[in-house]
Order: sequence, then structure tokens, then C-alpha cells
Amino acid sequence: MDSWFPAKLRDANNTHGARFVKLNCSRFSGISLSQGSRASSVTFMRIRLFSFATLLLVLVVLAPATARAGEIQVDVGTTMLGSSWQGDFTGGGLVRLGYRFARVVSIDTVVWEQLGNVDSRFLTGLTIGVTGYIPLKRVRPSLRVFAIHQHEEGAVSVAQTPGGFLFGIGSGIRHRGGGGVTLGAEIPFLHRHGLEWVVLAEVEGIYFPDPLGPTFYLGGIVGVGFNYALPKLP
Amino acid sequence: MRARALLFVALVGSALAASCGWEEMADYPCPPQGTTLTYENFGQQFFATWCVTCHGGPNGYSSRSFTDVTNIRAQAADIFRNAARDNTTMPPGPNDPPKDQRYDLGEWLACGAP
Repeated sequence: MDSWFPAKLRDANNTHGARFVKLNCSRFSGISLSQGSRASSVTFMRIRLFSFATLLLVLVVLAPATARAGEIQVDVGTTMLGSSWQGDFTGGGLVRLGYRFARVVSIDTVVWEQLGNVDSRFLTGLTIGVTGYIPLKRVRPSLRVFAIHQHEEGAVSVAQTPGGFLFGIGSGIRHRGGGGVTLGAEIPFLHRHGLEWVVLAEVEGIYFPDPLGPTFYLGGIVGVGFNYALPKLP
Repeated sequence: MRARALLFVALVGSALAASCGWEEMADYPCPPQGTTLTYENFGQQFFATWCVTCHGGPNGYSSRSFTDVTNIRAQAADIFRNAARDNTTMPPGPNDPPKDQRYDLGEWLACGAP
């Protein structure tokens, strides 16, 4: 057994901090293997690897053919939030793009532009998240968890660098990172030309750990959009 | 789609127009008699209280440092636009400097931040 390992590796430091415990020592490791049992163990490992590879192959090759097609989601909406700053409210518009798998889980991004009354500031938010749906017929409750990068800047900064606020370019931009949760519902109301039109109503909470602006935002979103079902997964 | 883009531009434009009432340093020159305010008796304390948490403090949230008077002088017009007199963009949040201190800041900056 010892001849399997170079001399310097033989006396290795284990994860419990007890130095000089031989990792390959049958007395301590409990992995006592004879030549025959070592061979059977290798065979066992090979079988496991082969099984895992076969399973992966089945998932990769067959799953797209049998899975339900996904949907492209496009929504626009308006949002109004209150913040943890006293007397601070923000409002604006948002666009949401997503891809939903089997009507249950979607990966999506939401971009918004809002105006806040304290400091006359603009808020440009970019979120990336995962949304889970309960795929009921009339109303689909949803829960979204997301990460957010938000720019907050005064109107002075926006005016000095017109258009820069969309890309975070400007003299007074505060770059903030945080996370949030959205609880809502998607209500389909029209099916036309392959599109499923929906109304959205959501409650949203956002948390930022930095002191560059309000710590919390809480509010609501209403919107309208459509889902386009793809004939097969891309 | 084009109508939506136009609507977005119009909304942003009107929001900007509604909130673009800031004052410029050039419109409020130093009084003829000068100022009694100095970095030692006003500026240093003002910036230490209201600005350096982000601008030059240990957190380093902003690349603009207001910990020495030379930097402040170099950015006087920007500082004025954001924080002096009735300009209230900075510091962020509802806890602002008293109005008389903002007016003092305007006078001190306009006089060259002596």
C-alpha cells in the first residue's frame, strides 16, 4: 500500500489537524484493502462512473425530446416602492425578459428605471433571478428570488451625462448590490396568435447591505405581458 | 415599439425637467467683502461631518476624496451643484445638513475655499 504514494505524500496532514497520520494506513483509515478487494473496488468505481456517464447521456440526449417546450416571457409594468428612508417613494417602469421551463421555473432578468423623491434621484435597476410558479389554470402564483445591481444618482448627475445612467456612467452614481424577493401572480386572459397574454400583480422587497441609499425597498408591481411557447427547446 | 420608446423618453425627459432646478456656482459669486469662512473654521468640519464617510473615508465608496482642501477646490463647482445652497442631491438621504450650513458652503466655495 505504501508504495502507491510518494514518500512526501505518505505522511500527509489530515483535515482534523492531526499531523503525521498516514492517510493510506489501514489501521486508522479503515480502508483496509487486500490486492483482491482493491481490484473489486476499482471495478465498482468503474461501474459507478459508467452508470453516472450513462445517466448524463440519457439526460442530455433524451430529455429535450421528451420535455415540455419552454416559453419566452416578455412583460412590461409599472412599479411603486417605499423605502426605509423617511418619506421616500420611488416609481417607474420595468421590462422583464424570461425563459420558463415546463411552466414551473423560469430564469429571468428585470430592468427598471425609477425616480425617487428624496434627493430627486434616478434608480436604474438590473436584476437576475429565478422564479418558481404553481402552474394553475386561472392564476399562477409565483415566487422570485433575485440579485440586483442598482445605480442611484441625482438628477444633476443624469443631466451632466445624458444617457449615461443606463450604463452606470456619470459623476454621481452610487453603485449598489443587493438581493430581493417578489411574491406575485400571473393571470392569463387572452390566447392569440400563439401568444398567451397575462396580467401581473406582485409585491416586492429589496435589501441593500451598503449605506449608499435606503437599506430596504418595499412595494408593488403591476404589469402586462405575454408568454410565447416554443415548439421545442432551443 | 416605437411609441413605447417615445413614451419612455418623454417620461424621463419630463422627470428630468421637473427635478432639474439646481443652482450653479457661477450664479452666486463671492460677496464683495469676501468671506470669513475658512477651511479651518468651516470647511474641514463640514466635510468631515457630511461627506467623508463615502468621499475619502475608510469605506472608500467614492473615488472622489474630500479629505483635503486642494481636492475640494478642484471640484468646487460639482460640490456646489450637488450640496450647496438649495441643492440637496448630496449627501444621500433625508438626514441633510442644516440649510444655513448649505448656504455657508456655497459662499465658502464661491470664494475659492480659502
